[in-house]
Amino acid sequence: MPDTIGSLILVLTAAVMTFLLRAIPFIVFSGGRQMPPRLRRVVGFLPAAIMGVLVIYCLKGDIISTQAMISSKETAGIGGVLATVAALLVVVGVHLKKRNTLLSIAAGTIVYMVLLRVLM
Amino acid sequence: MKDRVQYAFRKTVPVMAGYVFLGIAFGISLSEAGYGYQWALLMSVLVYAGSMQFAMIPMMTAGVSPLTMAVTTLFVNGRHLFYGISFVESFRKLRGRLYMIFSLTDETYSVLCGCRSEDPEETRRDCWLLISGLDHLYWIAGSVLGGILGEALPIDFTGIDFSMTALFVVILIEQILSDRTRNLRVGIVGLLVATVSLLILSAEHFLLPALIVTVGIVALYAGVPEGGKEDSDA
Repeated sequence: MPDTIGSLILVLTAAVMTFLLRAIPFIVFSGGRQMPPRLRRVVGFLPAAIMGVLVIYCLKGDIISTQAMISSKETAGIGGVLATVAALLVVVGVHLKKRNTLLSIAAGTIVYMVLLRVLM
Repeated sequence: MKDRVQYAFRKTVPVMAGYVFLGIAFGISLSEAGYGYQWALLMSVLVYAGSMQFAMIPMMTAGVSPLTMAVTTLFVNGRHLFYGISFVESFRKLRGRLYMIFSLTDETYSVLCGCRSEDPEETRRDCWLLISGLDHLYWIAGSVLGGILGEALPIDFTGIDFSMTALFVVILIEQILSDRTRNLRVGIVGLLVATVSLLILSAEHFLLPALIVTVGIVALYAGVPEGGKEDSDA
């Protein structure tokens, strides 16, 4: 068991920093201070843009292995990438057809887990 | 009340799958580093940031300085700076506001964005605190379970974390459908900037730069007046 007090201090440091990062926008724009209209427009656009970034963040492993396959002309990791592409198509397809969040996620995840075991 | 619990539960089910699974993985990793389930409980209650908690394990074992920990947290969790901006107005009069700010993780942010895009008047805003609390509870339960079970779990759940990816994709689709031209454009900006950043930088370091560049481009785009739609509230 590593040093208890030292670890405790590190946990508290990370906790305080994380909370500060989450709280800063609320501190800056509190007290009835209104957001300027332009910033309000930026804020309206942010969720879609950040969601786009987060999707890529989730797919980073597959994108990196695709890049590696292209540069090395090897196809070692292709199973995992194919499973991801197929599951993504399922999510988009099912969602556009049914507009049911849980159904789209369940369908995509099941397809992914099955294909991962079949293809790898 | 029962209706509220049902609504909140339905909204958080996708997060439950991801959080319980990742939480278990975190608890197991932590126990292998010599920290019991009490530490999983402490970290998941107080820090409540998935990728950061994973990054903390080797740092705690190595006994890094608090300054190093603070700077690392800034980089790993820096994206959270942008999440609150979308909810400054909406949280203003909410009960449990401080807790909701504390617990605004990637996933809770996504779920709340999803709630708002299908309910722009925010008539169900009274359920948001419950949604935040449930997500936190899933994460705590998963990580403590992982800490307790340790290596004793013989089941192979590989791939269940795709539910997170699917959740983000679904929310992106919903946002695009709610405002086809503009959200489609900024969504594509996010996807492209992140992909380019990933290919230029490493998988560990691309997230924060990608977010900064994306927000910068969106800020420039939002400054461009569009014929007659100047004060539209997207």
